[in-house]
Amino acid sequence: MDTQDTEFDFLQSGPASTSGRSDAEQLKSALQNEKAAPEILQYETDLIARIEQNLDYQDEQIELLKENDDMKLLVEIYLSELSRVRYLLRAYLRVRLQKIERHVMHILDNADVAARLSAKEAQFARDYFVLFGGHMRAAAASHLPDAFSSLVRQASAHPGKDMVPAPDLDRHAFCRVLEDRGSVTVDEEGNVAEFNRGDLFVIRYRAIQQLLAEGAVELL
Amino acid sequence: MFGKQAYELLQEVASVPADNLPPFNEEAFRSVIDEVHMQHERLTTVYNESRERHRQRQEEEGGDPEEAAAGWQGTEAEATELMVYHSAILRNKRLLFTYVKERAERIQELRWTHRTLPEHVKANLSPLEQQYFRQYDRLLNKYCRSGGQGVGLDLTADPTPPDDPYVQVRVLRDYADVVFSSGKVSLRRGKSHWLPSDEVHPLVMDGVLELVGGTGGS
Repeated sequence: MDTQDTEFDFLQSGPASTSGRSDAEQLKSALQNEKAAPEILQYETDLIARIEQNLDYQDEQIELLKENDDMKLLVEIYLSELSRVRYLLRAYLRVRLQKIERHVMHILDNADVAARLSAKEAQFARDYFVLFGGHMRAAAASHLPDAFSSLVRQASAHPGKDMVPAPDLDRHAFCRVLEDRGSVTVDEEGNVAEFNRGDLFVIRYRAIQQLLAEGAVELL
Repeated sequence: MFGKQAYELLQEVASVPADNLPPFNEEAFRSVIDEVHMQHERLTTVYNESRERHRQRQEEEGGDPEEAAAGWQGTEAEATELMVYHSAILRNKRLLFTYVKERAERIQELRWTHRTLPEHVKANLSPLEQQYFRQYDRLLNKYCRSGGQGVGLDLTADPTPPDDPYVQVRVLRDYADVVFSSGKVSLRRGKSHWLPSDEVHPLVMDGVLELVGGTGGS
């Protein structure tokens, strides 16, 4: 029973996790970060691959257990654990897809942002842009005078792309500090704040963008 | 007044709840487009006339025509007129784009919440928009599909966190025999069953089943 228990338990810390948190906890935190951040974050390639593998494996194990009537309660418990992890995974992918749709032009326009997508998300983004852009052009832009028909500029004489919806990085965010970082510069004027493990901040997203990418803070 | 019609067009959409759409107002849409073309024509005419007048003035003063063209400056009245037309076009453009975009986004949202277009909405869409729904449907299906191209999860399933692995449902209309992971169930109107919550959501969206007693919460 003991060995089976560890194989099944998402909450148990696997050897691959470095932060001492289980995959399920990491996924939950990734979902929370993604939900709270105004921009799309780096796709959790390794974590998601591990979880997908685990899900398949556990499905098989549950099938095996089902044959044994004594295990009924256990099967129920595993099933509900599985559906919770699936829910987290779906929610994670869903919230990312929504952001991709909202900021598709901004994402495809900036190589460093586009690099944060998974291969499938990148494909979706390109396809979606073709679809959405094509629709805007056919339904509205193509009827306007040439000088004003651009999808990314208000007038084609404007130098910048002033019609691309982009995330507002100056929005506030609630964050919890996960690692001691000492003094951190939090604005252009060079003001600093003490970032110690466990502290809570309401702060401009831009100021903690880097810390979030490094895993030193999590969003709430 | 410039932009008034486009603004009213947008209000038609805004006044309807988010899961519905008013008919695509082709007539008003066209007349806003006409307004933009009229404004653009005036804009170009005023601009060209102003340049022409300027050139003539320069010639009379015996200046170099090359240099003169570069140093063009409209009168205050001309500049004001140009500004008004220019801003009006930008405003109309923004409103038209928002109209099309807001409708497209609602169409997408319906794909997430209803899977197919409800008939009363479908009747209100322009042919382009119906095509948009079909293509978006195909795109999302591709992303959710299992295998190489997709993630293998139906992302529209259970938007609320799971509570129990099984939920009680009531069958609202006769439906086929369905194989769930718990076994095969024949769905007949009026019967109620305990079924895996993951798997009932699509049928709930299609209106075949309803959840009984608040379990699951969707």
